Amino acid sequence: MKHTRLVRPTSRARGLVAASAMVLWLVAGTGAHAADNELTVAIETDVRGFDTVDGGVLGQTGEIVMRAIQEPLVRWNPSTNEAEPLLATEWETNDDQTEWTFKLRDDVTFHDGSKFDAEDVAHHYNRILDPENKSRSRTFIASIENVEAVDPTTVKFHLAHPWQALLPYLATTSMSGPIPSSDAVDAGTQNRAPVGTGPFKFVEWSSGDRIVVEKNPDYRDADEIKLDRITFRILPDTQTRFASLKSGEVDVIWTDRGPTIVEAKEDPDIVTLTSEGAGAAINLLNGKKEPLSNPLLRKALAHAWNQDALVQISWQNTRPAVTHPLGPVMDCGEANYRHFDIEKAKELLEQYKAETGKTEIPNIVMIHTATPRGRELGEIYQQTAKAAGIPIELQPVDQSTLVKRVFTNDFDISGWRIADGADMGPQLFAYVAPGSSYNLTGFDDPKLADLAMEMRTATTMEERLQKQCDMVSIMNDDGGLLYRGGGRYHAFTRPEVKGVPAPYRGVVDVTRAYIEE
Amino acid sequence: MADLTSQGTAGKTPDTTDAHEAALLAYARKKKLSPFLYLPVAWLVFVILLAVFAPWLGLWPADEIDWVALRVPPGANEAHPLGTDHLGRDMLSRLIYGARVSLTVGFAAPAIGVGFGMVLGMAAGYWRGWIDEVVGIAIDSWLAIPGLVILLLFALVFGGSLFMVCFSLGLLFIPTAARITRAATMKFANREFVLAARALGASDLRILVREILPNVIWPLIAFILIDIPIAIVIEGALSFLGLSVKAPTPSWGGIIAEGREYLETAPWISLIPTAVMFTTVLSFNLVGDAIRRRMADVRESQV
Amino acid sequence: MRYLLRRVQRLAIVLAAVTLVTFLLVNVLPGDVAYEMAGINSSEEEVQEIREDLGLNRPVLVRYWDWVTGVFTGDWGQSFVNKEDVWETIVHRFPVSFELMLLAQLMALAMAVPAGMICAFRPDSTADKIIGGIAFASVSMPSFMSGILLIYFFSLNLGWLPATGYEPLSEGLWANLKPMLLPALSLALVEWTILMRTLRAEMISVLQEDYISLARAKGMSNFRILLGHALRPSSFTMLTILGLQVARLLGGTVIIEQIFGIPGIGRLLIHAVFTRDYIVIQGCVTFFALVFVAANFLVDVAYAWLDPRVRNERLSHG
Repeated sequence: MKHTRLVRPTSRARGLVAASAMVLWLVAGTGAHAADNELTVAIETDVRGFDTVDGGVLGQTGEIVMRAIQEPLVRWNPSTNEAEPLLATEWETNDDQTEWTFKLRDDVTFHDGSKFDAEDVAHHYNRILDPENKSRSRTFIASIENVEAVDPTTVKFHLAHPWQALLPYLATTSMSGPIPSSDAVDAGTQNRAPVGTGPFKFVEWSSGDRIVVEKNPDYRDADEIKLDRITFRILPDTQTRFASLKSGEVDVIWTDRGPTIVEAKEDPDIVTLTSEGAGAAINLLNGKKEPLSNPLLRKALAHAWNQDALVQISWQNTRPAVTHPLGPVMDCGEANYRHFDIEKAKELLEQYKAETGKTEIPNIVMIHTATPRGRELGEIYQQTAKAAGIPIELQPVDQSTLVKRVFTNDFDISGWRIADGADMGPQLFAYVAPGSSYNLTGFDDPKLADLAMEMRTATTMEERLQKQCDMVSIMNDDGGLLYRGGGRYHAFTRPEVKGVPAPYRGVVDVTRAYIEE
Repeated sequence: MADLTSQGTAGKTPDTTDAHEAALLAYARKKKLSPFLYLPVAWLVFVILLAVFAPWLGLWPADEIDWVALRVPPGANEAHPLGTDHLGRDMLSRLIYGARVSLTVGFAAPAIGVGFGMVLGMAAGYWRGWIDEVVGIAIDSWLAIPGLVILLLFALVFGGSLFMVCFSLGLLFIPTAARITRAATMKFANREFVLAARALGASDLRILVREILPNVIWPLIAFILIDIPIAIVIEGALSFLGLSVKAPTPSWGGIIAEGREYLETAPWISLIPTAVMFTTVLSFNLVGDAIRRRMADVRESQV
Repeated sequence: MRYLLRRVQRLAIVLAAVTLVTFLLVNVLPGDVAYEMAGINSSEEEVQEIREDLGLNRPVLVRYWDWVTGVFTGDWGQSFVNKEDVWETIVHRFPVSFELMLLAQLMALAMAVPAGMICAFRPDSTADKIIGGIAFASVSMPSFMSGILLIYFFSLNLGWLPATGYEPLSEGLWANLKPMLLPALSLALVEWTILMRTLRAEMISVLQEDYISLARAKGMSNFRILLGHALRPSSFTMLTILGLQVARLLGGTVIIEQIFGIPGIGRLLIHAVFTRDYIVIQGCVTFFALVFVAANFLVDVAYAWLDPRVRNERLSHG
């Protein structure tokens, strides 16, 4: 190799020019940033898709985006617990409550320019209801038989039986509620490029990174919409979301982690939005399989479960301890709830030993997700159960394995959750119905099954809710479902962001947000 | 790592093993020990002793929750000298039991990797031919898959026992160990003493074990020394992702990950294990480097 | 030429082996994309239907064959989870990770070159020892922890740089670079040590060459000797390592991408692993293998081109 002078003067000069050009570009680049009427919202997971068939389940984070793009027929008012007009202006039902007729607005167009009418509604719902399509949304609205477009502004829902949950379910912003353009659905583009009637139009979606929407200038209440653009950034890590909020890269975040919520609430530069909801985080005790098929052992474990400690330590009191999953809509009181009571647990354990003739407690395995929150849950239960004399072995698995093992009856104890819903009936029904594949803990009390049927076809809301409480009482007594915190939701915004209501059912609605100078 | 291959095989004859150790000792005696060496050694001895004798130190059980002492800062509660974590568990106890995991993985994983790598490398370097081809392709393929992917898949398939963590981490060290061994084996396979042994009717296996192994082992030991801190860091990363040993067994990376949420309100939960892990890894690096250099020096002085 | 042909042949076999092994490994993963897709509120029958739809009930080797033939026609399959084209997703995510890696390596170089030169100039001097100590300290800090601490100090306390995020280049170079600086730095802090040590070792031997003594005798300043005469011949190995590291590290940035919220290929991969999106895992690993193989091949070509004698030796080394 020859070693002459390596840098010739000419190339040095060229390098200098290139370097200064770089600097100029750098400086110029800084100016070109965001206009003022833009909002950045951090969401926890990416959306699978917006089509009811291809997109599967939307989830809380998906609903946040869905709300901006598509609208359902009616809107649920959480303070009055009643439906309010949205795409439908009025509705009525026949005497036996099996036919509901909705009048639709006639001044609405989709983002693709096509006109919104009854055909779109019927097309959307019938597509979900067709078993051939295998839509994930079908299970919970299966009480609807079919939907008929009577004329362009009239649509009729035919039900299999009286069903008080119809309006709450039509109002949901998860997959089944919001109406998509049937053109986009037929063209097969709805899943990745959703078209709706909402205040914002879909612009781009860079998977795993961001979803961008911009203001729909033709929206009927366009003057209510202040933002020009919303960017939904996908940030799975709670700490990352919170750091981004504090340092100003995002304006709104959602989280359910106790320590972060506590820290955010204490931060004077962050606004806290809170709402109460239904549903609950739970533990499943598998009664379909040895050893927990023995009710005494299950009940002993129920008394060894310390919900209050978990709420205090893991949620840091950001969620309430509950005795039922129905939320503030209905107070079921104690409902046979088995409180944390080590002595009682030991007593039941002795009975169990006497009854089965066993001297050793069989091996009980709890599966949990390999996340800090899963570990915490397992470690706390393991300690309290140990105090009662029941050894629990912990087994970390990831989310998808956990779901699989719960469905395939391959677990003793597992964390789970009952999702929030405007009406909890369909979920409770699925949890307890004999033979239902969602009867995960093996409830087999015939009284419970009868109650479930009565609840489903109740003709008044009061009756329906009372039956739900009665169901919960039997479920609590069985010990198969243990609560670990009820529904309470938190979202956080930067102080200059206004017009964001408390997150109803955990879903933040940013469509009416604006930024104050 | 490229420099290792060349320096590890600098001219050595089979009868030098004992002489080698003697020279090493003499060298160590001659050269004044620097604080860069004795401080790390002291720290490592301290950590290893604590880890080994953990059950007899009268510590709190590492998984026991003190319900009335959540997130106690270090020094605030006599019962918990280093404070408690978010579940009210004793930090000192968790750190010491965590050291057991980190140190076990640190020593076992490179040893496992070198064990497998040595067998493959010696076979390839000695017999050459199709064995060499197959081993070469296997090594290249293994290297072409990012290490973390291999770890993730193994962790998910085989779950969180300490043995599986050591084993899957050990797999990552195979390719380099195999390459080093192969190069060294090839160098010795045609030496006089090997040819002589063969002429005397020694079997291949005997030649490999008695003649070649003593010569290829030194560069591999140097390789293990370098990889101990690497293994500890990777285990930390795996714990950080929640994929190392299962709860409630503490591990340093796991404690760091759990404490992350409390960085503002209870920073010690994350920062103490970070400092301990950092010091330990640094000590291993410094000690490993010093030993490696001395080995090289000694070998050079013998040529 | 024959040498290169043989290398190509060998690398093709490696690619085949990698894809097959990954396919088999991924298929013994516990958990199931069908459950992941069905979500927490669905039934076992629905899950079975999804499996049927995805063709997951067919034998593994049949699926592997389908996949391989697909790749040859440019069809890398569609994500099970979000139905996106795998190849497009990878091509979309790759530049982000690549930029991060490149930036990290540039930073590592910027630290390693001056430090290595100072160390090599007077080996075993105080400066050499101090820099050596810093290098060891730096490599002893796991990058996930330095990442967290960097965010804590530079973003949250000092407010100098954003904590997270990624802006495409179209937003301007500075907007693009700003959020990349901290993650790149946390990677560079680990990477620079090996570069520095390699450079130092080579430069020490280069400085003993005759032409350096000649330059010294001519009265050339130390600075000019180091920079003008010793640096280039000493940096060959270092640059090779650097190149191979870019390829190797592409998949190793998972945790950093997670902590800093960077939508790179590492995050794509880990998300795919956790959701059991087999086809995406398969695509990513194949892509990494391709990059790795390409980088290796380029190094081989470079060696062969620079020094004909290397050909035979490298060939035997595999």
